[in-house]
Amino acid sequence: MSLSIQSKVDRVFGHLEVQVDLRDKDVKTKFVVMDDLRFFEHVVIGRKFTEVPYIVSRICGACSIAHFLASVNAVEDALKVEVSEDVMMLKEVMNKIQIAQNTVVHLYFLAILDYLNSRNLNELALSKPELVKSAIILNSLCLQATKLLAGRIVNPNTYVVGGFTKNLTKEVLEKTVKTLDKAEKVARELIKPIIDLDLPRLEDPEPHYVVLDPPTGYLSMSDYIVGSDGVRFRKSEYLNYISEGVSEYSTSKYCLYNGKTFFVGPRARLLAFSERLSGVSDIVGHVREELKNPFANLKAKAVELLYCIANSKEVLSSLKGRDLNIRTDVKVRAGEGVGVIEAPRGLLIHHYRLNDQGIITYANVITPTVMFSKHVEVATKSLSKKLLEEGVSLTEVEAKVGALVRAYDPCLVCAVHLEVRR
Amino acid sequence: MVKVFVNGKEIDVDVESTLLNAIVKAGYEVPTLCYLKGIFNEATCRVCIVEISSGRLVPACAYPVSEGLKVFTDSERVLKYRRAIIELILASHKIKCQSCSMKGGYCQLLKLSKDYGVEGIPVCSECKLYGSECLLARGIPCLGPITIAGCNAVCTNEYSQCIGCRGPVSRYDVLKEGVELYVKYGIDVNEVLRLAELFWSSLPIIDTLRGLLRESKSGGKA
Repeated sequence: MSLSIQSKVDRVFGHLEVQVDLRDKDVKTKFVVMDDLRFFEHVVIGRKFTEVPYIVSRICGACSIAHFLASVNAVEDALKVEVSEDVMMLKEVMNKIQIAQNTVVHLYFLAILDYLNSRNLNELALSKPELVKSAIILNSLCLQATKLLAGRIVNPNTYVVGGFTKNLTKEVLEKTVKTLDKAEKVARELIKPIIDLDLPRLEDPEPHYVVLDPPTGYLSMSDYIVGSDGVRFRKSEYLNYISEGVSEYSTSKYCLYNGKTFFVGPRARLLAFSERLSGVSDIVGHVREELKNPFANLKAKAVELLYCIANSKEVLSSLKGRDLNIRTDVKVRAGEGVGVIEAPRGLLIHHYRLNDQGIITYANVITPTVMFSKHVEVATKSLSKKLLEEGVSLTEVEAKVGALVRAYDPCLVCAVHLEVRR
Repeated sequence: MVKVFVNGKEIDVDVESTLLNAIVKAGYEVPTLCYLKGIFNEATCRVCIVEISSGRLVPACAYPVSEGLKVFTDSERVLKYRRAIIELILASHKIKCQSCSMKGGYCQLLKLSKDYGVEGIPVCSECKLYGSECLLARGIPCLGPITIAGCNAVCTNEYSQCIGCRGPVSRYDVLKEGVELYVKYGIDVNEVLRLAELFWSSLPIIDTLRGLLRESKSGGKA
């Protein structure tokens, strides 16, 4: 048998080819990222700590807020800045709204097309105009809320190291809550088609995951990371557990957790903390059984979409009429800091070393796509093996492999900024 | 028929014609804004000024030809004054024009200001339209005074420093004024330069800025 699939996966952020080599009995798969290296870790060296969040938020237009916040967290950790609880809360809300917006784009403009027999959004708009219309409305509502809190829809500018630049006015708060209220109504209807999807069956071959471990709440900031094996460690020790490697066929790196392939992202978060999702527990019940299936990342995302919007609204409403402590003084000092955050696609780690003038001397960034890239390979392998045993045609295998990769929502432009360390 | 010399080139034109006709006939170009052939020749914008033999600067679209008249369309003096005229027009113009999506070359004024290097409106002017408090007064190094306007001052309105993502203003006098502002407010010029290098390090103007900042530093010490 001389069969192989070289599928250029479309509808992902960046350029990706998934190679499935079927010549062996033991199927070989490769996750080949074809974007050029971007060397962001090198660019920030020699820059001042205040500029770094501005630079790294430009790594990715889709989740610039996640990169911005992770970087801010790392710098604040290095300078031993203790921001107030109000600031923490607003940061979390910013992150949640961004996750919601990212999820809308991924679910309704990219991933759902695989299951509704449409090749592109135009076809879907003809067959299901209501779905596309409300997805666009929801996207724009999330962007409006982002703009109100973060100043811009990409590359936030209301925050500097130490806190927010100005106090949230009553009008902005009310406007944001109103926008989120509208968004929640749309989202409640919109996630139904995703929750009801009949996903292809696939048992996760490597069910290990790593998530951020907040003491309370879901998608909150935390200094601790926890693995599916129950090991809990401080963020500064991440290098002892998560190792990076370079593959010769791809421009992105890969990660291993204790030498094992693992995944991050909405499915991991839901597997770990599904009982903490207040307000959407009825939907979580529907989804929980399926979570062992990598395809179910889509459903996990849908649950998070609703939760993020509803929770952000709740938190912001509770801030009404309160005086917020939004700024902490920053003293420049030498230090080392790690910032972790749950980005839309999973755990994001920024790690910097500063000298006594506040100049960056070392930087390391590990993005979610890098973390789960090996897991995509393993899952693809298991899927294509299973499909071949069932005697499915090659085109069908290719389509299914594409759908599986898209379920992970890889962001390749994030993945390739990594510098190769020797 | 009369004989005129356009940039030294001899050419015969009709007695009734204007300098602009003669210049075009000779194969030279003079920018125009308000002139519309046969409809409007009141010479209100003055962008089409040229120098004549007596040394006067006259609007080409309305000035009649005469025997033996010498015309210079791009002498140093003409270019200097034309630039000043464009600056004056822009000064009473909406700043938002600078970020207009028609900037691709459809708007004659913006095209002219690009050709003549008149992109002299800094972010400060937009920032002030919204009544934001000056960040320099708070001691924050902000690139607003030396960055091209057109972003609606989106960062400075949020009290976050301008990082110059739209590029530097190309006018030396504005740059100089900006540097003077930094000195006045006691901002560390090294900080300004570091921030400017974030987006502008590959632009030739960074050397000009470096020189200006160095000058201000030594001046401050003396």
